[in-house]
Amino acid sequence: MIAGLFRDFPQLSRSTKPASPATTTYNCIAWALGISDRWWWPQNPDAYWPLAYPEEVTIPAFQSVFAVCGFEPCEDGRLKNGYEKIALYAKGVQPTHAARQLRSGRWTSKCGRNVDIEHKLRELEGEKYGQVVMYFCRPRPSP
Amino acid sequence: MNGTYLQAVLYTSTLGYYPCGDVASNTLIAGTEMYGKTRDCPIESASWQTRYIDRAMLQLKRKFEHLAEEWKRETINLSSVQEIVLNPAYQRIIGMGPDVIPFILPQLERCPGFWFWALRCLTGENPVTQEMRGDVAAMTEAWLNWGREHGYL
Repeated sequence: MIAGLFRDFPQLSRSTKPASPATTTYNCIAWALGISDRWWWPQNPDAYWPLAYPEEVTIPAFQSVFAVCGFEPCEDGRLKNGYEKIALYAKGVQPTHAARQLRSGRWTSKCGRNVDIEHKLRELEGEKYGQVVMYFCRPRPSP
Repeated sequence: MNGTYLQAVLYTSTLGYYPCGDVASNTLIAGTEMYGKTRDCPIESASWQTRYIDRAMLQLKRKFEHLAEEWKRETINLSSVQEIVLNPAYQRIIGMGPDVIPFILPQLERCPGFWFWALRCLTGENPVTQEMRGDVAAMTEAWLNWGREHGYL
């Protein structure tokens, strides 16, 4: 599993370790929103997407779903005390992946059906996920 | 007869053609090619049809397993269900027709994954309800129940 990560994300540090088992139970969008029991993706009958939100694989569609979970667009991915952030990756205008910022300032990602990992944002940029195109933030929930 | 690979195999066997070369890699056209190649082969046993079908099934299974591994490898890190199911290996599996349903369901049972799209295409049915969307365990169970009801498992 981890070998597949290094193949698809050649910039990923070789010291990266899985933070969970590989699973199809949830994906990156769910994980970024703090959810771990559904696979979230629009425009497909096999994946969950909140009713009444646009079923489109577009940045505005993801933005509207992040908004309903309290995430508003913000300028960058710098650590901000009391806030948690999401970085949205896209290839062109099509979202591909989302990562959530940890209290340490590093990022956590669920990579498809593969494992969760901690990483730097740039380490997942490339052919598979494209580039980070937008950041979102919300006040960090109380522990 | 709706033209699946195994049906083509069965049909040529009723005409008395015995397989002696490799079973070619695709559906009805491949069966037809094999028909042309093997017309001079003798029939020596009453059970040759069974062996013929077993062998064709085995080759179909090998091809399926090869494509399934390719699909899993190429899509393991993807979240986009569209990208997952539009992968060329996945599309080739769908192109193999309903004969692969008995191979897909055990895969789904061993290791849940996005076989749902292929199963809908191949069966024309959908046991998954709106409430199950995104719940891979529930969708898997719905399809496994469907497989049991239809004698695949």
